[in-house]
Amino acid sequence: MPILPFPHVCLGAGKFLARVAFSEPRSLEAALDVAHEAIKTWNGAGVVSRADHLRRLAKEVERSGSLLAVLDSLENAYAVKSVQGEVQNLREVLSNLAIRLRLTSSEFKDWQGHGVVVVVVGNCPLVHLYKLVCPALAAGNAVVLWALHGAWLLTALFAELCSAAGLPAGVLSLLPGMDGVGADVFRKLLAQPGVSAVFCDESNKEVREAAANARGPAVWTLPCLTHPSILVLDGADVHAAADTAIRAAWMSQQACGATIIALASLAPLLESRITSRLACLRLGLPLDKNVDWSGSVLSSEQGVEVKEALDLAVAEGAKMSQAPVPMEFAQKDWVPPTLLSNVDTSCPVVSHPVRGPVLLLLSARTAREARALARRSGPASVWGEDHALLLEVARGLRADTVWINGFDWQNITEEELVCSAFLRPASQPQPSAGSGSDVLATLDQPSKRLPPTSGQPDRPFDLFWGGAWRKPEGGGWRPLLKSGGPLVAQGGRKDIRNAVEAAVKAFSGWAAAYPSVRVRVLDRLAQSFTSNLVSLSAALAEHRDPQLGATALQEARSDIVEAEAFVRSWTAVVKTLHGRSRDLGSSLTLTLREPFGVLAVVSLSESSFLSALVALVTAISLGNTVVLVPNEHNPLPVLQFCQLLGSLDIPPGIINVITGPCQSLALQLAQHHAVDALWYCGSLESCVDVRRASACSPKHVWSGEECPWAWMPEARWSHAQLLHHASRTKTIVLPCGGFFGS
Amino acid sequence: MPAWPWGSLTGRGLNMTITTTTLGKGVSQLAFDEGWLEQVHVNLPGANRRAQEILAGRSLKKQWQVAWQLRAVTLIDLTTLSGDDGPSNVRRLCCKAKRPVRQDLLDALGLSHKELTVAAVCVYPSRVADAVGTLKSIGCDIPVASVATGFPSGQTGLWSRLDEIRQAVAAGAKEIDIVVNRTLVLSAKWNELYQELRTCRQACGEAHMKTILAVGELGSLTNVYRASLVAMMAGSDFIKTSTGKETVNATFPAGVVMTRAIWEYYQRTGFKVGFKPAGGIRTAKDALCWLTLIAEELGIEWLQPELFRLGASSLLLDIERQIFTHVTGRYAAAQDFAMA
Repeated sequence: MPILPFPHVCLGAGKFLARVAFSEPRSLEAALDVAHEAIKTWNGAGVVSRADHLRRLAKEVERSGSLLAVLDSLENAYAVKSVQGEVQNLREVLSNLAIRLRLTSSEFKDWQGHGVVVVVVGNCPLVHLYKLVCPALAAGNAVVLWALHGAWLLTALFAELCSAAGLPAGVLSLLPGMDGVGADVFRKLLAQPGVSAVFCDESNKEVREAAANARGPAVWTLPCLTHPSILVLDGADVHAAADTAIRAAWMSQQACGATIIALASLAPLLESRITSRLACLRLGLPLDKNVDWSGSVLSSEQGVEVKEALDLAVAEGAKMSQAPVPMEFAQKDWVPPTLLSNVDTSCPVVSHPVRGPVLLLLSARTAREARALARRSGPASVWGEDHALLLEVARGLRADTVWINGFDWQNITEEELVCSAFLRPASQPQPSAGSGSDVLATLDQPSKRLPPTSGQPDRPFDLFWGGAWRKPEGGGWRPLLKSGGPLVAQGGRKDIRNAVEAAVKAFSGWAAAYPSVRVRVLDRLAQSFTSNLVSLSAALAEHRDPQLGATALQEARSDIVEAEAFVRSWTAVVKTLHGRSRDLGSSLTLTLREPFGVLAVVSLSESSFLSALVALVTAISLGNTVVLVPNEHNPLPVLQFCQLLGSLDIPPGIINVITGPCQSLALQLAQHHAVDALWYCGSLESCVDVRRASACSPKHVWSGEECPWAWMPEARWSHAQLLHHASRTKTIVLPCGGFFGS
Repeated sequence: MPAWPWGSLTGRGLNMTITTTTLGKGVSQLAFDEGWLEQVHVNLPGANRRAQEILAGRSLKKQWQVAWQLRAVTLIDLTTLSGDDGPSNVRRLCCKAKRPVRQDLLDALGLSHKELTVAAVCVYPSRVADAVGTLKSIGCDIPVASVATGFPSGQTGLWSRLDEIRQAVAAGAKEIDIVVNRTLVLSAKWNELYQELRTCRQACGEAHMKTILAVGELGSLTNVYRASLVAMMAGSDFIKTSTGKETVNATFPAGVVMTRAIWEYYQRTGFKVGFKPAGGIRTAKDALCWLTLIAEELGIEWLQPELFRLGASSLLLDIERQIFTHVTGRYAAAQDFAMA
């Protein structure tokens, strides 16, 4: 790589720092070649060896901690004090990954990395390193690191540390790039055939666009930066809550602003406290360790964007207080730490918070209202005295970490599975004779799918949602096959809307149901398989062999028996599923499992019934409500199964089934903001489409070319995978301490 | 009538009637407001965290460090509170108070023209006369402070406590450090505590009253905050952390909580009440941490003898040694400096 005379300018002082080698097209190929070579050793060496490497890397990071902090501080003008915490997080994440890899090595037996992946690291490089790069490495990927402006020096040091830790050459390659001129090169990189996936922060618009336009690898945008919410309720220590807000909004690289929501009676005191603290903040050069904040707005465009948003808010009547800017910075395009109070919830700055040092102060009348005003992602901190109330608020918040009377940027959330986004199922092994997958293998052969006998009466199937069969809105019915067969309703946009609405309505009751209620429903389901063995297996066999031959019936019957076994064993899993608690010395944490909400399942795979059953049972057992779109060529077993539901006394709206053209229904579901999670299985291209469509709202998407939740024999189930994609974890942190004095 | 910054504030103390009685030097009493106390909640981990943040986040070096150290000297209540105190060591203390830092060091810093003294000397009531006499004879007009009211435990009858105050005032003490009745705090008899402190305030007359909360014996930080408010409502000129005789003395979290009470009191009433940490402050570093805490929580205008004091005895020696090191580049021994 040639060294181009491209000066890297330090943001804080505006001084020349270094010349950076800039990637050009032929260096891409070289990097990918090495990466492909390296992936064999990296993946082949096994999980334990990877864990060892990561542990050594954590050690290296610890050794060079201050240098990492200084580089980041120089490049991006983060106050060195706030960067130190991020370096610690990086080290923690690495050593945690190493430990978890060892502990859960059995979980990985059917999973592997994507291969060679591109990870884009931008202007909060440390956060990107521990949220994107480290998990990708842990999962067994070879990482090609595309470093943008602000990450050049730091990633270079990180690459050196990797080689010092003994990572095989090529496992991590570094390509310095840049926006604008570099975009072409980046597009070339994406077009390379060897790249399996691209990971970037969701806040990076340019990269996201470039990646979306490339028809190559799957693009994953993951949230790296967060916007914490702080709720201040009755009996809160207002001073401590104000400290928290200041720490959350201005003292971390991870923060893109913060929102503080206080009861109306506490808001004035809180406002005056924060304002008086603002005056005491030290603004200055990033490397001064006394400095609290040093102007790390990331680009001048961003600065302008933030200023515009603030001006608009002030024009609409918001009250703005800012930290006094020191003389030497007065000329610069600086947005100092800003408090916006008296701001309407309809103001754009509230609904679409800007990425900048802005703390929003909203007031609420009740705790319930405060909870409703909190953002639906990111960490939260709840302040008050009544622990019963605080826990209820914490449980209702959509947040991965909730602090009760406290807050820290520490990386405390415990991921269930290491980095699920960075894994894909290993290719299915050859099925052994007589096992369940054998049946599926024969099912998958289209030649076996014959038109049903004409003697069979055509039963028109409606759509099943809200606990009843309903006529489609305008889609009509179509015979299953061109040559005839039962009529199946063709659902459309409005049916999806109705089904999702029914699911949303049912969700709150279902999620709040006592766990044993859900277990009883699962029990009844399993029971119904035995009592309806004949009819169900006939339905299943019918599509395999319309003549209902003995072998087909036998196979179908054994499938149903296995399905029952699955429901029973899964019931056991769910029943023994307890949250976790950890003692961290100064605090206790509770890790709870929570349903996503409405979970949509679309499966284009042919073996739809048993896979659909897996999805259904997993989802509802954890408290989700389901909208299921069965395979359009083989929906009958699912529909027949729905007919059973009526007699099982399952609350309406828990299970909704819409038949029709899978791909378009999948896109409808992906675009529906009330759908909280989507399981999709289809061709690689359609996966990309669905991912893109679902980017409009925060949604957990699990997709794959081979059905990731496909039916497989009992022993091979990875329960952790299913749990991970059907529920989220929430960690509630309870700091301890109240004794004072002798 | 003071400025009322939060006239529109609901929930907190709008119904409070302020009856201000001007006493001493413009300090005023407020009617007792139980509602205000009930709204106070202090989170201990939060206070600890803030204390840590202040200690870790501000460091002073080189000439700035010396400047702050000299400021700390002017804020010291140079104290001796031992059973074996007598006229001779009180005299020594007063002389040290007049010239706290060696003259050659001040000359080297270019401060020879400055009159640098500590803020006050602090002694037992029976030694007040000695101190006042000495200071007069050596021509130093810093005030003499006296502890009173059954110091350090406060476990004597109210009359004898009040008598101590009167005795100290009569002997010439300009400042009286009284201790609160911990029994009343721990049984939450705030109104009775308020009445007692008011009586003490009256007994002090023209003298300043510093109320020692003895934070280590109040059980919780919420009690510390409430006791601070009661002491301020009753007309204290200063609130002070501890006597120095408890097992837990001036800790930074307690300091954070007390300064916040002062801040809130100032926001509400417009009265600036002083703060005095005491007990266990022995090193120059500790002293600077306390100064930083005040600057961060209350603002730099609080760092003057009228609003901030450091109760200490051995602290002065350490500061002097630090200044010596700054001036000469060498480390000094304790015997290089005049005894306090």
